[in-house]
Amino acid sequence: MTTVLIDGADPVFAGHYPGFPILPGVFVVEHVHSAVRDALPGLRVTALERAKFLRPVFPGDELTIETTLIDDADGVRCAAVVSCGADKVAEIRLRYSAGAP
Amino acid sequence: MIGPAEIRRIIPHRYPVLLVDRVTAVEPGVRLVALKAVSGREPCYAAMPEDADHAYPIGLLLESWAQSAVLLARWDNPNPDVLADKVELITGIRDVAFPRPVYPGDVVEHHVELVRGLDDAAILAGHSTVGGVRVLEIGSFTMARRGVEVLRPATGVSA
Repeated sequence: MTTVLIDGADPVFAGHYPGFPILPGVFVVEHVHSAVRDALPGLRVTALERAKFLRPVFPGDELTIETTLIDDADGVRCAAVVSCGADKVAEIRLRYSAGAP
Repeated sequence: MIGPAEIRRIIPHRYPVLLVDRVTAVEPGVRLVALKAVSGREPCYAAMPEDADHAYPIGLLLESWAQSAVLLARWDNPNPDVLADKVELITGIRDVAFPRPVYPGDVVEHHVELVRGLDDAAILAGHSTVGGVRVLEIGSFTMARRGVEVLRPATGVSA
């Protein structure tokens, strides 16, 4: 399990959006990727099989990322549930594969 | 063809997360082609260790494609200020492939097609290329329009 504090001082919020700071939904995918990539040496992210975004993320939110890694013949699948307090923020399934880009 | 000034008149994204540089083709309501030049000077590289793989982060690549999708969805109904209008939120994405990483120096060409447009939602699909080689496939991308007043953080949470 990983926790990520969404820092209100991050410059992203100046541009997304002026007067209404909200984290781009796909940045949650990046946070999940960052949480697991170091555990998967030699593999690179090759697919985002599915993501559901259930609640927006605001500056100051603390995200909890719970991941399950499943090895299969083609690589590793990462199933992640991202939440903020009692709210589920997103469900994300990434795939990692070996080999040259 | 339109550049940064015209893009800002259609979508609300601003520096440092306006991730579309140019629109090169558009058929309103149908499809759009946009360019994003990736540079080693982007903020995402500032804290990256010198010997790290400098693949462009997938979150930024997806956001750049998504902004191209909003450009198509909003072409005839511009939304330069979310406080005066609604905000497009991604609600789901499926069947996305990253066949090849993107690196500084690459110019990414995003192709977006509107699959279905509704009053308060849209489904899009497409792909992206660098020098004609696929770097991104988007099977299905769904977004919804919401008023900012219904999205404000819950009471007691300070932004």
